[in-house]
Amino acid sequence: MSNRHLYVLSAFLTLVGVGLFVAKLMIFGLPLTPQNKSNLWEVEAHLSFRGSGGPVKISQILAQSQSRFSIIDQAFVSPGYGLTTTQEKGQKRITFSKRKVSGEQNLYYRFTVLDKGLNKARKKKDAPHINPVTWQGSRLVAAQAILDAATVKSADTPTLIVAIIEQLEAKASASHARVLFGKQRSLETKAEIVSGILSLAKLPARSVHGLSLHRAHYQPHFSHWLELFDNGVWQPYSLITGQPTDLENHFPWWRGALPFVQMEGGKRPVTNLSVSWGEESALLSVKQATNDVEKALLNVSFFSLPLDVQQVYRIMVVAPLGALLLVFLRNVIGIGTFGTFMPVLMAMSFRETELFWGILLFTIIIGISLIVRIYFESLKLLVVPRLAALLIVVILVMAGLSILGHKMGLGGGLSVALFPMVILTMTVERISILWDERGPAQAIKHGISSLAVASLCYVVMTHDMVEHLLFVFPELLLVLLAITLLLGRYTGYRLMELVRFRVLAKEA
Amino acid sequence: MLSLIRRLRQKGVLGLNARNGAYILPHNPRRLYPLVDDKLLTKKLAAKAGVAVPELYGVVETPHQTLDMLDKLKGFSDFVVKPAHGSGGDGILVVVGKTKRGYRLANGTLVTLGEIAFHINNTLSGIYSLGGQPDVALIEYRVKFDPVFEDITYNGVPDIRIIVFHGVPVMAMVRLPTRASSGKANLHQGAIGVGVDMSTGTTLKAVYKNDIIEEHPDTGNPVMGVAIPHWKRLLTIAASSLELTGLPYQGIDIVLDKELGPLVLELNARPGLGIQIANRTGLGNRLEKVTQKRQSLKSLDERVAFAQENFSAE
Repeated sequence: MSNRHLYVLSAFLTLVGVGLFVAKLMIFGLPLTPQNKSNLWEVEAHLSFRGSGGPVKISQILAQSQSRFSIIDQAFVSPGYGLTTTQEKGQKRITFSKRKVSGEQNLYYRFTVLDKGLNKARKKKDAPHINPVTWQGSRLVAAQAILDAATVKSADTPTLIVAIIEQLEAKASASHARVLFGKQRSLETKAEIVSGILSLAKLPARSVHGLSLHRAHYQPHFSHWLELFDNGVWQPYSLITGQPTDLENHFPWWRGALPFVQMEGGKRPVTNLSVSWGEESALLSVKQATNDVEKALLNVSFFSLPLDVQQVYRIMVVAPLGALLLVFLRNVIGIGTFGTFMPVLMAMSFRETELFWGILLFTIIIGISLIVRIYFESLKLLVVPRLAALLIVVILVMAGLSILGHKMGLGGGLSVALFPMVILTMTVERISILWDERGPAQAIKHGISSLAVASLCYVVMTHDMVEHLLFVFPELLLVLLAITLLLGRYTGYRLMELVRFRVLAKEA
Repeated sequence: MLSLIRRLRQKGVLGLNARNGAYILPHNPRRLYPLVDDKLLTKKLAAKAGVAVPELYGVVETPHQTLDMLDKLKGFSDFVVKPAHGSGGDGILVVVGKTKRGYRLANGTLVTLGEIAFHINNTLSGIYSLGGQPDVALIEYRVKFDPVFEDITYNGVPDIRIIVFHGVPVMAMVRLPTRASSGKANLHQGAIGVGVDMSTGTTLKAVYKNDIIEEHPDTGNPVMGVAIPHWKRLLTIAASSLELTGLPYQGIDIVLDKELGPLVLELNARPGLGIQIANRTGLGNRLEKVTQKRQSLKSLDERVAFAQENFSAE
């Protein structure tokens, strides 16, 4: 069979890939490098619920521009729904309504936030009026009791906040706290309670609910904090420590005790948030697509997808590069690894754990499971039950590490849950078989080379430039495909074979 | 490094990529693989073609047949249990004798019938098969190997691997078990590979763990210059393997039995490349010669003669 067919195919793929790439570059001026200076954030609230055939009214709080953050673009994806905007306690609400709703419903609210940075010379404001206390009866008594106890233990306003938070957690006032919290002991209710008690003390305080704007967010959720008016400005306070904080990158969405979502008629509303760091110029150019050709060209990108799906593809588009690297390491260099794609999958989970923690956790999981596996060997279990038992052990070890990591306050421990457990199980099994048949030296050597390949894949796959290029120009995947196909017909020596066969070259 | 590559090329040394990309993928149709991957099927094919194989005592396909088989085995003092889909010599249990306390294995340990049953059940669940597929266990005649290799074998059955391309035997080696290979004849498990002169069937220098040696590491006897008996017959059996399976590129493993002569153990659609080091020459040039001449090499005798003429050690 001639290779010409393959060469033509690869050339064609490369041509299409590079052609689209150049076209997008020329027409839209999409940036070649990640724009680190961009301070635009895309936020999306995905509201899902089930309709039961009748009318549904569902509303949520809209984001508003404020001194540091500007909302520059908002959009709603709500097919068939009527939209009305209302104002309630200084917050805008958007209400989606529809006469007949049945089945799973998905509504999207998407907006772009421009972070203008902290304004050093903030204009001093006049003292606001203090929110009236709405508690009555036993709750008022409980709040007053906690305030009294906290006042005794504090000297000034900042220490009062710390004392109130301590009182809410203290055993002595546990019954008061229970009355105030009711059934929901969440940070959100805590924000309302603390701001309420402060209002009771005639201090201007309010609860704030918002989002932290970070790159590489797995599943963002609302964070809650407190604001106290002091010396002409609203100073944020942490609800955990009670200390004044400098809330880096926290975007306040709404203030005061308001439910984020209100619904009439539907069932089981769920809100999913996603935050992504905006590709500024890319987004701006999306709006500039004027004629059909340009629009079609822009369809070859991920920007039109919902944000949470975009996030998934951000991770997925780099996997082919990892796979290509693996092909190269195996077929051109000749490095052996456990399982064909195990290192790529490990590299992908290292994204969440960071490299150091990833390698450490991986080694611990494999190590402990391997010991159990060696013990299983003496039980003479049949294959499928043995693999199932091993999977359970792997998950137990992962769970143990997560709990231990959380107790010790190590963030890395939690993300161990993202390790591919089936891959880990098969890796343990393969290592133990190799251990039995070729000895520990071979097994450890193979394990280390797998880990080294995974680390290399991680370094390449998490490179900002790589992620940016493949995400903004997914057509480059065609070029990767072409290279992979060509490597598929590489029949030259592997680097390791040169070592293996070198004795053959010595003799004339 | 480039000169190293050039010299290896000159010698026709085949790498894994070249073996797979230039010979196995273009020549060996995938549908024929089951014929060699399944040792039961290979045995049946060989028996049909009149090629001698170790006698099959029985096949265990389901766990409940194990007990019947054990009953039957009480009549034998020595036998071999092997997985039909095994690879690399894994999962083969060689029973050499019966004592009052149990069965003695080739490596000297004693096992009970229960342990043999456990081994069979493990085999059935696919522990030794490629990809963990459920398997069947074969129980067959234990080869009493020819004394020719007695002095250069440690605890196990030596066999002869011949690579056959389009029905022409191109390269051969004798694989000698060592202490390190625990009686197994696979190079990657630590067995010795000894090159063979294709025209005369006498052994050349040997390779042990990628190094060239002249004596057996355990027995200390020279491995070179041993004349393999029935050489012509071995070549003829190897050449006929093309008609057996239809695979143009394959490796055939043959053992020499004291009484029964050459017996075919198994066929291999992806034979390893260590044989090149054992023979201190590359496969590529020999395969190329066969490619050029294969139209004119029709009969079995022609192919054997071609091998003997062209592939003798220089």
